[in-house]
Amino acid sequence: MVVRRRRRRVFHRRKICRFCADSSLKIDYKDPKTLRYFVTERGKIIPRRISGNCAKHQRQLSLAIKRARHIALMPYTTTTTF
Amino acid sequence: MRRYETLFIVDPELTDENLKEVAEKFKNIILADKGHIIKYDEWGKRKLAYPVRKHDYGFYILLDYCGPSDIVNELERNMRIDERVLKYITVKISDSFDQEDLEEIKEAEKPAEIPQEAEKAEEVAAQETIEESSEHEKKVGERVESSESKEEKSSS
Repeated sequence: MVVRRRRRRVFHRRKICRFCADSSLKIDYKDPKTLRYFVTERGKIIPRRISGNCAKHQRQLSLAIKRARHIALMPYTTTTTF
Repeated sequence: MRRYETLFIVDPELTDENLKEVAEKFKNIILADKGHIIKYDEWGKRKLAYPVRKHDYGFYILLDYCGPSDIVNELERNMRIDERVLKYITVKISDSFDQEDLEEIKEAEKPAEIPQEAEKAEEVAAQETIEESSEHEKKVGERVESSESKEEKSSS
């Protein structure tokens, strides 16, 4: 049996934490426009391994999104019927 | 003293007079408890992300204030009672806030020249951080690649 080594070269873009790169970008629960980049269409928070945020900013971000959800600036979930 | 901000949603179907009355009521609660209002901001009518008490729209009001911690209890207690308030959130902005800080903020609002200089300094700082982070990212990228090759071996 031939051991087939998978040569799966996954294209991977170098990820940069957006908030570290741009210090003028503030994480604020009152600003849903910025936060919207970090949730899926269904309103779920995008994990760090995909968005590329650093741990510090991901923590602040998830807190901000949860606050925004509480005050109805962002959805907990979207009710789309398929 | 501490600095807080409270964002709350008022029933949008109220008349302008009633809206003012609600806002005044909460402002007075803050003032009665030895607090100071730093900023009062009406965001206006906005669409809610999800319906709250069968309302699709809400009138957002932001109150930025400082005062002793009892003030939050009193304010939130009143908001729970008041049926015109749909939802509220209070966030602590800073732990220590005194009279000097209050005066500083008031002074900072008046002259427009100082903040512009500060922005320039921030821009320079931002450029520096980008350079640093790109160097850092190279290292991280190498590490990720090595871990991926390990995974490939184990899965094959």
